[in-house]
Amino acid sequence: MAGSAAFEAACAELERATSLDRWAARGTLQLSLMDSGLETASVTVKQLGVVIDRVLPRQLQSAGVADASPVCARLRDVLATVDERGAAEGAEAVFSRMGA
Amino acid sequence: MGGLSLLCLILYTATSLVVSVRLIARSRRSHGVPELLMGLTYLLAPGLGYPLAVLAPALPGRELMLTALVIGEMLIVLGCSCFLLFNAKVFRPTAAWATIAASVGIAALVVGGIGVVRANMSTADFALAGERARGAMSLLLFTLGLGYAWTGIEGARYHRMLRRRLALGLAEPIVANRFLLWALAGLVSTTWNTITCYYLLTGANVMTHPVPLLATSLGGFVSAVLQVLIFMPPAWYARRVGRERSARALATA
Repeated sequence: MAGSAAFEAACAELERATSLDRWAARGTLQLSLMDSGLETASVTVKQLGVVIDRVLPRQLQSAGVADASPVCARLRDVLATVDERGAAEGAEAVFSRMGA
Repeated sequence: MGGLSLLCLILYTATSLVVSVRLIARSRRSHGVPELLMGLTYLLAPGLGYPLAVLAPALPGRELMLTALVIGEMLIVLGCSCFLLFNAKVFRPTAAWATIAASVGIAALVVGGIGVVRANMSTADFALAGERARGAMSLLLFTLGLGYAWTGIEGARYHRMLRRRLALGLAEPIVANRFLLWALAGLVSTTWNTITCYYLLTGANVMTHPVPLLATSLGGFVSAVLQVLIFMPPAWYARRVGRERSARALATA
């Protein structure tokens, strides 16, 4: 299943910035998202930014990436260029609005 | 028992009408399809359709009774169809299986609704019409029960995810709680639908048998309470949910 624009951009950059192949890069990010209660199809730039700061470094270490800091910095830079216009809203946004 | 059932029906109907008006008004401001679908669900099915279908047999004259029943069943089918579309659009917007499941569910609701109306048009004997409508009613309730089970599972799944997001500061406690209440509402409605469906299939009169009557009455009452807490939570409830979350976060820290 295709991921959100933020997820796809981060996967591509993770593959370039590390020795991980395409599937290992996607898997590492997917595990980080699962730990954070997020889904690849709907994760936003803001949410992925928090995951990169707080969850991904641990996953990168598990995946054999020695120094996660420069990798995370590159991912943050890439996220800053992602265009999220037209992205479908998630159930959380709908439920947030419906009870407000 | 009949009095209690009527009281619960009135409470559920009144709450549904208030919630539906709020949701439809909100959808006009936000142009959001999900709140429009849910608003229409509450307005058409429990707000107008159920009471019309329940009261139809008590109306004077067969013409009036049939008119009320046909309109009531149409509204129920339309409302429940909006509910299935809400499930697919909100919880599985990119999944083809969800669109197919909602479409199959809508087809089953239409078949069930037509069956109920045809059974009532076939005879003036209300008891015989009830017997003839048993299969169609069961199909309606079974489909609706599946829809409620689906939404309950999705609510529980999202509640679990939002609890993880909360730990990272990526979610609001009241929204996470809303998913939990949504899951509970799905569970409650699945339960009363299943009980009523079971008694229908075993040949009992669900309008007089105490078990399905109690199940629908309690189900209606609890659903009304959950609707209020989900869609228009009182300030004290929102504060309490926020406080509990803060206390839990402090304990974890």
